[in-house]
Amino acid sequence: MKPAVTIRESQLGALFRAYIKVDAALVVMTVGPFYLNRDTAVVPGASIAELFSLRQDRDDEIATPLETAIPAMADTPERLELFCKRKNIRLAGIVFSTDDGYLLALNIVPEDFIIEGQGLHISDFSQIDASVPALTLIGMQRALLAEARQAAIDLANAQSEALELLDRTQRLGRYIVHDLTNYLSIIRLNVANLARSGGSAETSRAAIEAATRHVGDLVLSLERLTGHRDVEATPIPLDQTIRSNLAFLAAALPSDFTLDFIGGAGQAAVRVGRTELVTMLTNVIVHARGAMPDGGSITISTYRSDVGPDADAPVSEGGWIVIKVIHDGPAMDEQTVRLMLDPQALARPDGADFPLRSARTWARSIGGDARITALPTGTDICIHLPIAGEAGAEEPHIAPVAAVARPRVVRTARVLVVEDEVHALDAVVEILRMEGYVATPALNAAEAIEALSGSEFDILLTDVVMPERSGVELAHEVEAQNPSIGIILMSGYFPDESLLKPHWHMLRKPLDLSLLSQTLAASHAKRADITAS
Amino acid sequence: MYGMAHRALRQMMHDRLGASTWTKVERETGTGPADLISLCVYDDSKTIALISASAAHLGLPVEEALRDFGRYWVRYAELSSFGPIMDFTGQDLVTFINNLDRMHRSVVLAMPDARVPSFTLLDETRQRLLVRYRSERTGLEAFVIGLLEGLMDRLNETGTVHVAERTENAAGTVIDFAIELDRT
Repeated sequence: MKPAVTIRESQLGALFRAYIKVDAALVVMTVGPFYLNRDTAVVPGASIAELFSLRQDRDDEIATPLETAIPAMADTPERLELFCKRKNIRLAGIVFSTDDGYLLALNIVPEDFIIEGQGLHISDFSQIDASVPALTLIGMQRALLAEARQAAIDLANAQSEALELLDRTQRLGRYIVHDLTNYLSIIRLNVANLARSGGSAETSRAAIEAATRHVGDLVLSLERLTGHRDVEATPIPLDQTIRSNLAFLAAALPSDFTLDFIGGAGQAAVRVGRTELVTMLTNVIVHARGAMPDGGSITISTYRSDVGPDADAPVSEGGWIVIKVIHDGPAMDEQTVRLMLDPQALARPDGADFPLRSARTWARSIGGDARITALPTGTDICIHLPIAGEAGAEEPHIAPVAAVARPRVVRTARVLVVEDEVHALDAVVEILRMEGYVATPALNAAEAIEALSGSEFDILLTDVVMPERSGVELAHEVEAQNPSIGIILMSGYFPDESLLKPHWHMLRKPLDLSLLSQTLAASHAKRADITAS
Repeated sequence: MYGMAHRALRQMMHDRLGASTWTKVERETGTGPADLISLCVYDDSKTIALISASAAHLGLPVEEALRDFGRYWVRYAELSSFGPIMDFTGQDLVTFINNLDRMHRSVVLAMPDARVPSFTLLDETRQRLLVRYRSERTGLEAFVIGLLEGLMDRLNETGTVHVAERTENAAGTVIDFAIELDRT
């Protein structure tokens, strides 16, 4: 009988990539392309029964022998499933009888439909085998799951970085607001001086010019920080910059202090904003001043070093500049020193060591670091900055800000002014004295309480954010002892209203001088009424 | 193109110029995480914008950047979670090229909007392969040369790729690439 369809071996191989033709004794005669270059031993002359089993459990003695199963399945629709004994390969198909034996029309069955580790290629499957898209799609799904997992990790990392950046930005923002407020106070003081005197105009002009330049640079820093402007700081010579701003820095200290500078860094330059550097040093000096109630000496020195701040510091190819600030004030214990730079306490804007933390944050933001060490007398503040090159140009000299005597309008109101920033304190006290008030300065709540124990005051004018005890706490304590005293709070921040009493006055910093004057007058008038009644 | 190309480009820029430069490329082209999903199909203008911006940062002409990217693409795909699909497509140059269309047909099942190219092996000798590339797109010749060079790298072959014949019309591009293999 003529066969209904004649199929060539090449066509057979295209349809059934793993076909095997065997004789009646189940000895292999020809095989499909799947077996090429695969160490399966499925070659002409081999015995099917030795190469394959019907069940995956190859040692199972109860499995039907292939010698029985293949003839029984021939020309039936029953599925033949074979497992290779030498390789982890599974084949499936149907059995046809032929003139000289059997045709096992087989294709590969991928194990668990996972591509990895099976050594299978697309060309191992026939053109119409749905296994190829199935395997590809499953592979894509697994790849997408891996991508989704990685995306989730990336997202978590990005979120963490964003939160950290936000935290750092908020902190730096607070520092900048804090510094801007100081500079604005200096400007206002000197503008008032200019308006009222003829003798010290040049000094005031120089102070205003220096302060406005620093404010302008701070604005640039803020723009860099917020990404508003892509500004790259150009390297500046450190020693020259400190030397030319030394008079400005000295202006932050009362007359019972000395400030010395020993420059040993030569022409080494650092990539920082000029005003960022001056502001940082001002903060450190103001901090040192606060720790030295009886005055003393502060020395700034610089030197080059090949050694970074610590082993974890980024590599600085040009080496390091170290700025040391040493003072001879009272010694501090190790715990106090450690807490000064404790990163866990950084979120508090009103910490006692606010300026020092801002110095460390600043140093780290440009690849350096700041450390503080307790000495038998005083402390040693050490700031490492990476060297960015060598420079030569001289810095313009900035005239020192000097206090100037003013004609006064005599008034009798006595005002206790409490402000932890010496520039701002000087400015407010100066203005009040020019207005005719008897103004007494205090740098913190403790100094204020001490002043109150020795003198009587009509008005307490206090900053809110201060180290150790806030202005709000101080106001409550002072009013409890002296209910008739007028309370005026001033702050760049709005404190929690629930902590304030309704009859207290609140002024926003930087201070509006006319508003300050009006508020003092109103508070004093009220105090006079209470006293009279 | 699909997002996997964008991810590969991102990785290439990370490797060569760092993450901050890629951030600039994203900013310049208005690209965000939603443009980087491997199996999403994006408008070609997005891909071209990304490649052009990257080329500018690399200091390369766009054609040269495309060729570099083609080479990088193969390495990226192999090392990514899509690596098993690359292995499944073939472990030698001839098998890989012969199976590419089948692989692409399967990929299109998951991404019906994807416009995948077609590769046909026209002629094969021990030292020369002639591959016909058909695509609806134009202007990706340098990219395909890079891809074929990347494939040679991956499959431990050395040689050169050049254009043997080119036809471009409104329907797209047909280019015959000759791969001259350094085989003895």
